[in-house]
Amino acid sequence: MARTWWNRLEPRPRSADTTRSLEARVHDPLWFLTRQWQVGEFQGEDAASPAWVQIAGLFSAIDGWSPSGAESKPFANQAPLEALVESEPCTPDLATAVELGQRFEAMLTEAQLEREIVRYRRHYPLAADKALAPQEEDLEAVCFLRVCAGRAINGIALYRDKKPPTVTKSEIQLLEKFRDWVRSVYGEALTTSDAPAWRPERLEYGVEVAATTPHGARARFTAHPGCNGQFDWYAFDQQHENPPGNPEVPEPFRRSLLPAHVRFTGMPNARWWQFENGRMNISKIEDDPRELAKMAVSDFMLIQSNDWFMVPFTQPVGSLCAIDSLLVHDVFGGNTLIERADRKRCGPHAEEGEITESWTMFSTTLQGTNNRVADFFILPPSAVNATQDGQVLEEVRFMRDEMANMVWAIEHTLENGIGMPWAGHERSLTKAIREALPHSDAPLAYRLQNGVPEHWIPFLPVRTDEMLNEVALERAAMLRYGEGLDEKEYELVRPCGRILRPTGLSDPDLYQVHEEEVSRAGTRVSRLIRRSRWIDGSTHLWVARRKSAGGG
Amino acid sequence: MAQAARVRKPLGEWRRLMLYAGTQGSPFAAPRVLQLPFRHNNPWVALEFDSPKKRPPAGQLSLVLHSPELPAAKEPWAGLLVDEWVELIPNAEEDAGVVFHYDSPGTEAPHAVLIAVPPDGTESWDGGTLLEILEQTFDLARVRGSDGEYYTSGMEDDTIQQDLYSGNALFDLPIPFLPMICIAENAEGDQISPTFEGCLENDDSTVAEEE
Repeated sequence: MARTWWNRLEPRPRSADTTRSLEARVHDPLWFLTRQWQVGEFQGEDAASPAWVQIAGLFSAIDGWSPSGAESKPFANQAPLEALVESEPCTPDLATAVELGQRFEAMLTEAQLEREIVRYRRHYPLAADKALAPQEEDLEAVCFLRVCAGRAINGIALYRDKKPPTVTKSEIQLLEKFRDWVRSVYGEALTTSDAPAWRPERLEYGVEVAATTPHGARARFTAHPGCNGQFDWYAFDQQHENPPGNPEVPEPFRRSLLPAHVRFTGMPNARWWQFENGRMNISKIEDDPRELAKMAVSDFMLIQSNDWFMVPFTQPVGSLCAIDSLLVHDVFGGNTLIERADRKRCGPHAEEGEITESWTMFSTTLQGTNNRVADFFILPPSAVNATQDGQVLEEVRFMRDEMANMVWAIEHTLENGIGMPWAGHERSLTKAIREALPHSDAPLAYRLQNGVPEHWIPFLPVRTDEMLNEVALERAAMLRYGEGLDEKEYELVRPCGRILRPTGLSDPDLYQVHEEEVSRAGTRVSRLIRRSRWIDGSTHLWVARRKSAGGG
Repeated sequence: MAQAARVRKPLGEWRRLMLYAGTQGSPFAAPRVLQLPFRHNNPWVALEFDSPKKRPPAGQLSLVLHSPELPAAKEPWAGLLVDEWVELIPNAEEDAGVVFHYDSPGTEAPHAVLIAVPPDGTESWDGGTLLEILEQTFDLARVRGSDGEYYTSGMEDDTIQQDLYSGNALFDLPIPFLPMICIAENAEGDQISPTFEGCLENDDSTVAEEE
């Protein structure tokens, strides 16, 4: 048996600080080669750079949509999906009535029928429309009405009226033109009804989308819009049961493309002498085993990035795309077929053909299966960047009152008679709260409790299922002892806005919200007007609702 | 315009002003549309287009003027700016990407240009000479990486060894005890022992690990 010797390798510092060596100084040409040798750039590998890539696959399109549970409507990219789903019409208010009226007046003037304007103004007076007429406390609307009453046509009444007092043929034509214009600007209806997809008991939209998959099957998807109402690829989940149907298998496509390294802003460079973005401090990335996304990104950019390539790939909006094969041609003329990541068989039962641990991103979940994913990518018909958001017109804050074991829905902002935001607090100030006090001659009166503001609407917990002990929150009402009412007489304080008065209920007096929708931190539901262009240049205007947490 | 007035605050104020003006019997003149750069028969960018070919090109400037008379093109004019915004029309096709994993070689082109000069007495190049020059350059590059002080001090290997073990610090700095690696060496292979012979002599720079 031979003697064993021990060799010892030790690091040996030459100076007390590492600044100089970290400076990556430049010296003679040989030094460049030395550095390259040190970082392994002269290391021969049995590999070749990819030169070009051939992709073959199939496209199919999203062709229908519906509110949850309803019958599917055709969809042919006629509008952004948000505009269809959130298709809540603009509130018919005084300002809109005057705007439409003035539009018609301008049309009459153009057709040299100015003398008819007075007749229309008399036939459609502004003040008579009770639906538009403001409440007394809405000061802005009252002022607006004072200025405009008698001087404008109520355009909304004119638009809705089936039997207008038209005399001549040219007026009928003009009216048709006017209605077309209203439809193109404000949509079909000017009503206060909710969007069909709005689910008031959940305070969110429920949408289903129908499509043909690239391999020719019919599929239905449940869509969950993001917090800004956008539909991104991850908003869709394929439902378990697919409707029957034998649509045509779409034409396959083939494309040849040039690959490039996967890079993103702030990513470290692969080579030694390259300058990096000074704003990125890689050493400040704190790794925490719980932050998987951060660890995956840093692992990718520091270790894996050199071996990942990307090919740009144009896909029509509102389509599904499945890639069947990807062939890489390298610079030495060799071909490599790349397998799909979600089809790779790995994990403990790999040999039996069971996919247990395939790792994938940007895939659509198949509901009801054990972490299975669909084999296509959805590019949704969503106008994310092209959307303009208006002011928040209405905001309701649901907050819990743990002491009283109930929920208050505060109408924080309301839409006033001319379509502007109106603070609910201001509204409640205009109504003096008068408590029911017994008449007494006592010199001092003690107030034990002050009143609840007008814009606070109570929601009480009620049991909806005795067996499962399920609880829902039901809209209730405070009592108002109004002026002119007797001590014992009262009326109910009703909500004013559109959020707390949903139109899709079977019984308009029974509005229940699922208890879990109001979190401890509170829930905020707001309404705002949105406008967007679409791929054919058309413009769309609609009212959207948003739910967010907090504000309680 | 009527749609935009509902989402843009300054335009919303302007709409209200127009409504008041209309009821007071002095309606504003119909707005005029100006579009730059000028092209003949160019449709307004705010309109719907029938085919993707008619899509307006990017970078168009569209002005909507409420003015009783059209300003002359050659004369300067002034106005009140009510609102401005950038209007986006979504694309019918969007850029997605396909990403794949492919083992790419880590080798890179050298950072230095090597000008090889034929040795004295040689009239023509041959492959062997060129290879020798290349190998010599790489050898030099590796030597270049070693510490300058080590050689200039004129000390032999033995001196360094002695200094190290006698605790007589060769350099002014303390020698770290950790981290260090202890590697067994056994000539007859009774124990797992790496050999460093290859790294010093040949081009193969990888350390043969745990043979």
